[in-house]
Amino acid sequence: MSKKMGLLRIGSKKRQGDIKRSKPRCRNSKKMATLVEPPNRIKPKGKHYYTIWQTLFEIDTKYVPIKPIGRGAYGVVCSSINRETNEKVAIKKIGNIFENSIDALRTLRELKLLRHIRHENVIALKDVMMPIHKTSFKDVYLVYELMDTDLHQIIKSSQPLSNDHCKYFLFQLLRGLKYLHSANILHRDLKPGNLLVNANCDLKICDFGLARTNGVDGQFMTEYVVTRWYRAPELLLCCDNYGTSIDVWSVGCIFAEILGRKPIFPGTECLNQLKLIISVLGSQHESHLEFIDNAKARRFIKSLPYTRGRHFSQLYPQADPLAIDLLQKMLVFDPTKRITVLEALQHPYMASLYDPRCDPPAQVPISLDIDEHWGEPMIREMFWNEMLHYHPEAASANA
Amino acid sequence: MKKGNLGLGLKLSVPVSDQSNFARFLTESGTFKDGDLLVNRDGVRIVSQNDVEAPPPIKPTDNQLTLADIDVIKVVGKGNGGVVQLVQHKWTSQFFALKVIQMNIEESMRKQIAQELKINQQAQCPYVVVCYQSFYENGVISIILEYMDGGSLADLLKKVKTIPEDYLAAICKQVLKGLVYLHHEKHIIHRDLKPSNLLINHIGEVKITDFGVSAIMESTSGQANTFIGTYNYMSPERINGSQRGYNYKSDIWSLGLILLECALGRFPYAPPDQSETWESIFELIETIVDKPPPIPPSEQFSTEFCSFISACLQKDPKDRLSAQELMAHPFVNMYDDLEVDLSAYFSNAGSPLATL
Repeated sequence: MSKKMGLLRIGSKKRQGDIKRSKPRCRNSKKMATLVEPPNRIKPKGKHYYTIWQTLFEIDTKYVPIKPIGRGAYGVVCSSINRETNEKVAIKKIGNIFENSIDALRTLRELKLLRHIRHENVIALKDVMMPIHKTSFKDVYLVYELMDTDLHQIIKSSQPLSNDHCKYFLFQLLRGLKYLHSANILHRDLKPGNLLVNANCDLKICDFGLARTNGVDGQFMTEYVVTRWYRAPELLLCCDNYGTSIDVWSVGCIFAEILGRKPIFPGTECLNQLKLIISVLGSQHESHLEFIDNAKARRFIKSLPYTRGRHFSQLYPQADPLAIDLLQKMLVFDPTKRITVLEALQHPYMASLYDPRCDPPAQVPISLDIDEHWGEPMIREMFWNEMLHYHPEAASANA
Repeated sequence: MKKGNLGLGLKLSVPVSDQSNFARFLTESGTFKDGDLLVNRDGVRIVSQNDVEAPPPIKPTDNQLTLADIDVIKVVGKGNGGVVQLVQHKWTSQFFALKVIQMNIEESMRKQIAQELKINQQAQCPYVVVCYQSFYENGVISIILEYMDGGSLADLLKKVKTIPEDYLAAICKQVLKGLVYLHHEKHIIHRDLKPSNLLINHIGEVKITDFGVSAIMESTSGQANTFIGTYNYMSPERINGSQRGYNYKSDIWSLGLILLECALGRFPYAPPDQSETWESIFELIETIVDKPPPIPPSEQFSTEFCSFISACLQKDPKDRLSAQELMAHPFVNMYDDLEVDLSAYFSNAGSPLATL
């Protein structure tokens, strides 16, 4: 078993002088969930209704919402209590799920994946609520275990993070990723906001395929908000064949951000992203560009001005030298030369934490039978089937 | 394995999560009601006469606006990394557009950015959208802007597909006047000129918006010579980085592409080999950088229009005319005696308050 470290705590008291300005009052904004009458005043059995940030939640009566905790392009998330187990959960409402088939399929992908995944460092999907009518439901309610915050909030907060914090976060991320990769699952969207953490520093990977589509087909848009900062070079360069190494690149970017408390490659768009990467890693030799199968993309990389780059020890002078060494092996431009997750866990920096006997692989590779061309009836059927896994008693009911 | 077994006794304080100031807001019926005023898809109506005189309208120089004094009506669009909402001032009943940008940057930079946005956008020109106030709060930059009720040129194009030359000339003249102001008086490069950043209203005005935002975005990435803006409208020298720093002429290139797109009804560059879509961003930028610029078909368009487009779409920025020089181009003035009515054109293409 791994060696126990000394007890470390971070005070929860807010920094002196960090007085928050009062927020402007927004019309109809609400801090807490509010129990409301059902629409059409017809109350279906087993459901009750709450308004959260002007979003109507139709949820199973065993869940009592507490307050909103997040909002994104996908919908609203609120914390809740499961009255049957006294357990706190996060309920995510995805409204009008069939409005966009690409987004619907991504949600479906997450449902299918999370049903099979069992790992301490991957968020657990505890329930998918059964709608009242199979043929007409529009919204999907997902129930997750509740975590205190995410790594993005931790990184941008002012509290100091010790080398042990950095190491432990990285370790858990790599453990979770090792499990996923052993099941042939690529996350493809790892970033600090998708890593949930608790006050005791437990970390869990979340958001499998829920990133919503941005931009219009056929037009290349810059996106200031939807971040591409954690995307591997082979993705930015439109390579067709990519593998688990894209997640390792993202881990490297996240690790650098934990060390430096700010993003390492905050590109404003795809081309700028590549320039920033080259400005740190330095210009690449021809032999390191052979993985780029798009001739025009390869030409672009070669056309960039020469630079020697900057060593990570200059960027993060306070970091443990072993951390620098590992970071250096993660942020390798050529994916075929990048360290793997297993190799990273075996790196000396992880020696005090990693015990291979405690990390069994997933039982079987998980395969998804998702067809990108399904229409709404088929997608609806597939959602219903996923819900039945959490509510087998509903299979016999006439819906 | 037992939960928390490897916990090492490490602890974190959980920061209070930033919450967005503004939710997507829409009344259930889709109508905004405030006293006598009703606003919905069909327009604005005053239900009854109000004897009390309203306070005087807010001017950009007042610096009196606060976010607490405005009511959000609805989201009217998304642009340049932010959400744009129609808002109304509680006391004066004025409508404004509120642009809300989430920014992933260090705390210390945010206040500076809000201030720079205000300075940059304090334009006194009828051809640029007015900025009344900028704020930073809770990780969000909020900018209160003049509300343009016709939406953008991009919205118009979706309806009309192509714009006839005489209307194009009238639109072009207003945009050029805005660019003359930005380039020659304020010394600002827009950097992200595209159809969705040219706003229109029911009285026939065309105004440039979102200038300066890109410059601020640029500074946060910590590098000079970054790319900011839609690739489609980006000039060749910006893409390949062969020019040191930005140049006003980059905006002229974007203007040329916008006008040609309005005339043709499609983005002027087409994927090679009769493809329907671009293979990748790199194919697009190679086309822009290495291939000849697009030209309008001379059998479809006037000599003056073709000449104007050619003057804008010179690949070498030194060969491009400036905004001031273009103001004297024959195309800009050749339809003056027709008294082109943009107000009627915009209104007929979509109802007033088309964005509602």
